[in-house]
Amino acid sequence: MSVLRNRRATLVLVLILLLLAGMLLRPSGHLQPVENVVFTVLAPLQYGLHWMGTQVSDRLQVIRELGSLEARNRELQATVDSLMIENVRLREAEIESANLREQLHFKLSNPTYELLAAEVIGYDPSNLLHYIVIDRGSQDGIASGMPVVTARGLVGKIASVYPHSARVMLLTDPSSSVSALIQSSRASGVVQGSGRLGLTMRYIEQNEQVEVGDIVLSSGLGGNLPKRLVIGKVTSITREQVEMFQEVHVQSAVQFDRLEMVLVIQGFVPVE
Amino acid sequence: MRLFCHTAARDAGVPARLGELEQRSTISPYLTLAILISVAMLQTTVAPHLQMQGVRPDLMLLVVTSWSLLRGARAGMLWAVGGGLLLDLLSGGPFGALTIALTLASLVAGVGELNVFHGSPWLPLLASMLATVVYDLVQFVVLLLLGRAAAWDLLLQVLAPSLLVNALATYPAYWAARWLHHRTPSEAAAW
Repeated sequence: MSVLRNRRATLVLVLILLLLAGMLLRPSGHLQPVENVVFTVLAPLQYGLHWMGTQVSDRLQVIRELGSLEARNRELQATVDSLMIENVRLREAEIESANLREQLHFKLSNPTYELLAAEVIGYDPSNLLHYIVIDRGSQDGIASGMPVVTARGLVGKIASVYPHSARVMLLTDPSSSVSALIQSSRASGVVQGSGRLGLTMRYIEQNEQVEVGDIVLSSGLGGNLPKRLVIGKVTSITREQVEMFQEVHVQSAVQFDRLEMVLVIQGFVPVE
Repeated sequence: MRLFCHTAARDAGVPARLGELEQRSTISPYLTLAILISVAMLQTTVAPHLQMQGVRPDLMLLVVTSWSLLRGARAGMLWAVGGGLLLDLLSGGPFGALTIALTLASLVAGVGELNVFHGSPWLPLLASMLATVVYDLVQFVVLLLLGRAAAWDLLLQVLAPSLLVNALATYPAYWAARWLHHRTPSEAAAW
């Protein structure tokens, strides 16, 4: 029993001595080799335990937040949806703004025209016919025969009018026929619709000078349309010696199958 | 029960007799009118957004063709006349052109229902292709006779893309019509 007590006392004494030695040796740096050995041995263990602790802690955190995560996810999804809608709305507003800017520019460049903006609300059900329906009618002062334009050029003319809407025959309709002239040479002819192929200017005399890139304008002959409305640009010329007239293909800047807004020239009264 | 018998016979690929087909009539005229007005509206507003090569799908034609295949030539013709009149009202072309074209096209499709392809999954496609050719051709001839179309190339520039775009839209239109066919009575309705 006394041996056991002596051993314990010795151990306590050794530990106290080690403590004292450590306290004395550390400030002078003499404990460094011992510390190096200890840290070299323990560091990997320390790293492993720390990693495990982090993993467990993260899992516990996820479990704790599971209930709120679902609500958060719903909240974020709602935010994404609303931002997407907002984005679409802004893009539409941007497109509309660009259209309106173009139309305003056209109105400022043509102060003599009394213009009324209209939205396209429908297309003809037949692929062989080229008409659009606009949201302005007789109650807005629209009358049959009035020219319809966009900032990019002539679109067509009013074919029939209803109280709150009107039907517009596009230049591309096979029945459409407009007196026109070549801007540079003043050669006159008739621009006719060729369906999906666009526009063809016919009845230009063989001796008239026409070149690719020439601008085609409405001539005003016949009194159905005002003068100097842009119809398009010459893209190809067909000259046959045996024919009396030459024929040119005209490319309009107007995208007839993507019209959204148009301007009706109200001040112009066509000759019946 | 009678609808079930017809449907079962049809699904089994049993050719129906013409008399039997003609006895079957259409659904409520009010529902028919509502459907036709909706399709006409879609044709003039939504179809332009589905265009390919500048040509829009002929939704009314596809619906009428499908109905002819499902309910027979007589029911199809009623829809064709109703739908055609609505389209003529919305069109800038000569009144009646679309009604005549649609009626003849539905007749062709209705006859197709009795032919050797009956029960084949390709039948709606074949019928709509044939109907598209008849529809465009008849429209063009009417326009030509009335001095509205310039040249035959107008028909050619429309027909090929029409066949393509209508082929793509055939099955959605057919499935929608079949859904309606299975959910509506086929007993005679007073027109």
